[in-house]
Amino acid sequence: MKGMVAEERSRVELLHEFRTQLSSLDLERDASFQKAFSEAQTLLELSDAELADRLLVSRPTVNRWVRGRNLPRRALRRSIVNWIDGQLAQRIKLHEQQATRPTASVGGRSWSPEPSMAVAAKGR
Amino acid sequence: MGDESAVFKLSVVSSADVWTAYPFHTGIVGSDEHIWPRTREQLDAYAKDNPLFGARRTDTGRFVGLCYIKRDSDTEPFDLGGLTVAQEYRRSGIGITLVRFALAHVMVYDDPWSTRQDVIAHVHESNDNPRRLLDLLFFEHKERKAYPGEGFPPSMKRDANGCVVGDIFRFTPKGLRALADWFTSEFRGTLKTGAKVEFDLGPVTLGEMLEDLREMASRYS
Repeated sequence: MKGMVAEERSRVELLHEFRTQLSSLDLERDASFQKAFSEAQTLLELSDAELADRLLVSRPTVNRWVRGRNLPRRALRRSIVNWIDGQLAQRIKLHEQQATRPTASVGGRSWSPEPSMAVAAKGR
Repeated sequence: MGDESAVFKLSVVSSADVWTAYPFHTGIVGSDEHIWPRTREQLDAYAKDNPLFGARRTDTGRFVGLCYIKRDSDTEPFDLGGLTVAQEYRRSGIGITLVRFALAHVMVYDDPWSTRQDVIAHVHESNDNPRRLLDLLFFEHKERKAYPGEGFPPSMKRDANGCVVGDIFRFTPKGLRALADWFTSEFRGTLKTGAKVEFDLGPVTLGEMLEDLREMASRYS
């Protein structure tokens, strides 16, 4: 249980750190946006198709952004980064809840739901 | 032509929406010999692999128009096509609004000219309607091509050699400027019938999309 709490906390720190990086991102630089978008996809655990559905674009468009091939223009980048930031904030809240959730006793053993399952359910 | 109280929402069509888009496509396919009949699976693949754009009535959720901008690879041109509009909404302006939306979307989300990829449209030699539309959008004629007839729908006319002949048109910087001007100065949120038009861009606003469109129009002047 202690290991799980520590894992949640380190994940929260990672997400906070990435949010800080996002806030000072140079959107004019193609490479900065591409790297941030690609890292955000990993941190949010979303496939190209899931990101495409949420951003209302096609899957290949997302794939090209991840690869840095065709990138969106500047105002769109700002909006997309804001959206990512909002998603990260939700994730942080969820992980914090997981880390502080009291354990229940199941058959004499302490138990709490799998954090990854709860994140996945919330994210859909 | 549709009532003036109607509201149309234009957006990228997700794979989940293909179940509603497909009956619209099958209902319209027989009305025009130049429309390429697609199976539900093909339409689903289009929605997954390309931006498929649709116009829907918000009260019924029914599709009234579809078009796509297809990309086969990182180097091929972006190919605008498949424009279909429900019979009762033809001449309402929904078709050209959908195409304008699709063009603006692909220009700012994919920036095809940054990778030297043209945005083109193929038009059959005997298909006049899209020519007028492409002319209004300042596409320029690029070349005429003849393709072996195998694989094309039987409804499409062949030449004496059995080939399907068509013209390729290319989107131009002049067209991009006109597109930015149309969204900025001419578009008032309605069609000429008075029906309202909304654009669904997810977390992005129309203002942000137009900011980028205007910046691109001045950059490519």
